Amino acid sequence: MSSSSRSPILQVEDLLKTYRTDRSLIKRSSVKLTAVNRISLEIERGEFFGLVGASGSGKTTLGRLILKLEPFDAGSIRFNDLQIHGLKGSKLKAFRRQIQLIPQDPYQSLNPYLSVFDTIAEPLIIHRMGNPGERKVRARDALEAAGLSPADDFFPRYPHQLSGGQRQRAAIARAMVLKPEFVVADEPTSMLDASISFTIFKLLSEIQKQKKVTFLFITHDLAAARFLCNRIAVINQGEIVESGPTLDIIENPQTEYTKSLIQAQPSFSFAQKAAAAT
Amino acid sequence: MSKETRSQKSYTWQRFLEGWSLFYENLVGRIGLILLLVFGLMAVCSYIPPLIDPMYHPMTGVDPDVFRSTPPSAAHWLGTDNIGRDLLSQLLTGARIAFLVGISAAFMSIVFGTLIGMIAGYAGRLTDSLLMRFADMIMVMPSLLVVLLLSSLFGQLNIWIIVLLIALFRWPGISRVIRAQTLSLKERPFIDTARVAGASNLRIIFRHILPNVLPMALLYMTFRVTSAIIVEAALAFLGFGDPNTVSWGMMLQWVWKTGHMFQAPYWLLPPGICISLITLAFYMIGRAMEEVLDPRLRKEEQKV
Ligand SMILES: Nc1ncnc2c1ncn2[C@@H]1O[C@H](COP(=O)(O)OP(=O)(O)OP(=O)(O)O)[C@@H](O)[C@H]1O
Ligand SMILES: [Mg+2]
Repeated sequence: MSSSSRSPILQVEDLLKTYRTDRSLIKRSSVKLTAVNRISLEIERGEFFGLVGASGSGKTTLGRLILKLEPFDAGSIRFNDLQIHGLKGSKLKAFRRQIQLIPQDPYQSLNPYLSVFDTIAEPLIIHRMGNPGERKVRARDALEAAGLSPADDFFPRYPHQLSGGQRQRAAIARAMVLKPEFVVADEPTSMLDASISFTIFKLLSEIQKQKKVTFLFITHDLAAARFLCNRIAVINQGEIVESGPTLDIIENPQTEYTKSLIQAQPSFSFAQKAAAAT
Repeated sequence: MSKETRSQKSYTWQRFLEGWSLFYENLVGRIGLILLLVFGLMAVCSYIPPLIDPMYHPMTGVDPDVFRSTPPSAAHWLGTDNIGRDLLSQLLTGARIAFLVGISAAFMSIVFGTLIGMIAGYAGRLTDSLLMRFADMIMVMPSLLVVLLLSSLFGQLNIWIIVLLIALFRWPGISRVIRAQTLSLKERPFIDTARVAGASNLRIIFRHILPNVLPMALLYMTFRVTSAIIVEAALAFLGFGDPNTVSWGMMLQWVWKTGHMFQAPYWLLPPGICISLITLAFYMIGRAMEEVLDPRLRKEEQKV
């Protein structure tokens, strides 16, 4: 993909996604709900891009469209200059190797019946990478890079034997084990308490710097976005209301919606603490 | 427990142990289990009488001194049938056949029901509608009548054919339950991460959904054992059983056919009581398992 290294890794153009919600069983009348309304954005290779918005604004939906977990109605998504719409077979598989998800809720995102090792090694098995010995090495590296070491102590455990923060680290290891180019992190710490969240943020930012991974970081928390992201887009009711360098937007918000998001933040003490710590 | 001493038990094993302790506190479940152990013992003991004397063979053994049905005696603890075969030995063999029919039919219907339920729930849309309409059709079919029709068309049925027919008629209920569970599992984020990792639909169904629906499938299996035993007994009693097996239903059929219904209670009652008790035992175990599983299912759903 070196030929495309000049262009953005992800280009979203005029993206539209509507859901039909049945209002009544009798009349068969359905209401259309526009979850993503004509969104365009570009994410540069290697950046930490934030998508910020209130609950129900369409953040998760946009993430799911980019991950090709759901079809969209109109517009286009190009990943590495490749249209993801209609990807099939080996091209789809190659796409699946390059883009990964860190989901929101670590209590729901790990299969309770799979051990930590099986969870982390599964993507390698799916993509037929290495022999069992090499897979073990890669899984160990991924888990230790995610901050659970020694890995061999954690491998035989099941999710119910891990704390929330440990589960999220296992989920991160699973997402990173394929060495993806792009990671969608959908509110990865919303179920964790503040101090654990902070260590997870540091881990993500380390990963981004060391492995040159591009992140799409979804959050409702401007403070977290300020700590992590160089650029953000603010989303409201399925539309991007403004986007640009994080500090510009926080210091000089252009819309009432962004101002209200900033005010909803009790204080920026968290971000200041984070800034002091780094 | 500290992290170091925490044992590395698998989730399945831990759930089993938890479930077992809850189950054991449940009186209904305990009675069911004890009953079942008694029947298990009977089935195992069924191999003994023919070893003592060939005349105790349940099918071919005939007491040369007996020419009509006799009440219990020292030589025949439960008496004999009209041609001098030992009833106790038949009753013991009947337990073996009941387990064989009940468990294998239930197992097969669980396999069909779970597969179809998972596929319908996971695929959704047209596949789901088609499979569920098909399940409805089979569910409303009078299964006993259809099996009777088939056996009158094809003559006497082999016991394995009967097992297969029972299984083929008894999967729809299970598939509905498994489908519902699959529908909710499908929305769980670990299915999304599996898809993002490139997992195929087959892998998602068998690696991620199957282990999660298995406890429910096993619960329904105990109920299916009950219904399979009843169906086989009914078929046999109506004269459509496998004439080469000694099931309790067959014993009842022989009582009836030889006109001993009201003359030989020692012949009529034991198989009748056994059928009732073994189905009751499986039913009680199923109920107790359901109680174990249910609060936990609810608890897990609240976490979502
Ligand atoms: N499968 C679906 N069917 C119907 N409507 C949906 C579906 N998924 C999302 N929506 C709707 O789309 C809108 C955007 O939802 P989305 O989950 O993307 O919001 P979000 O920004 O991620 O919110 P949160 O911060 O609470 O996670 C909401 O109004 C939601 O109700
Ligand atoms: Mg969301």
